[in-house]
Amino acid sequence: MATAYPLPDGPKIMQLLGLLFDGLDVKPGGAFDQSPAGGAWFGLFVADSGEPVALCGADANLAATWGAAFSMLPVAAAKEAAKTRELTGVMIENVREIMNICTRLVMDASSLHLKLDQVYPAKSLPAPAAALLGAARGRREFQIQLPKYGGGVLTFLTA
Amino acid sequence: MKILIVDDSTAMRMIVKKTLRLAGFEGHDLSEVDDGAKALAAIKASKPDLVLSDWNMPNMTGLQLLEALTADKVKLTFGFITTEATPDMRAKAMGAGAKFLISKPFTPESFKEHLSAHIR
Repeated sequence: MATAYPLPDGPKIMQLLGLLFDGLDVKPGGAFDQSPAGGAWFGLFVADSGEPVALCGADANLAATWGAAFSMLPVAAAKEAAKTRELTGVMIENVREIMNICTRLVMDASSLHLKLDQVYPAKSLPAPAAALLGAARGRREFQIQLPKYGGGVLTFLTA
Repeated sequence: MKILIVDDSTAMRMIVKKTLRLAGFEGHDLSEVDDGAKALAAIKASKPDLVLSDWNMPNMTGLQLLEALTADKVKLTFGFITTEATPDMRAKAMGAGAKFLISKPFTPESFKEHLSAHIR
């Protein structure tokens, strides 16, 4: 369904995030566990008016992978975070950095500007983000893999 | 050449550096800071030839940085790399003395197009 903001495709994700991670692999599809206990993290994207307009989600495995790989932390740190569903402060900041970059994936030359408001764990999503998660009009999943670290599922949802 | 990258996003600074390499601009002295105020101090200390700056940053915006450099009569090439690129922003940037404004998401090709005249 068409929305005010475009959903990305695999090549667009590859082009942008491939600048951050050498050897990145992106495939469309994948099952995204968005349950509060699932350990996913969401970036809430808002319009310049402050209105929530999109979400970017990284499941527990991808959040752990991104959180470790962006700072080149040991692979074991990513595995531990994925297992415990808990990210360290550095990992959360890294996920925020990457989700901030992901705002570019739901904008194009004709769409309105949006920005990252904040990142949240699935277990403590604020009401506007939870509402968008439950009523998104556009949605797309991707399987993301990084050499050595592994990967997980990335999702984009638009209002 | 000494090139200073100014952006409050660590990830975006990484992307700018990698895109410079992919565009063929290798072998330059790259440095980076994460806001306009730090950039102003770094520019006065290290005198870069080229500054690639974000527009919106904490403490001092990219435009305020450019205006401060102009007021201090600092001579260098200054350009913006920013998400938004409205006609008003372009007019303000060029009016303040910017040589180019590259809007994100950018590509190695757009870097070549805008930077070839400024990077030797």
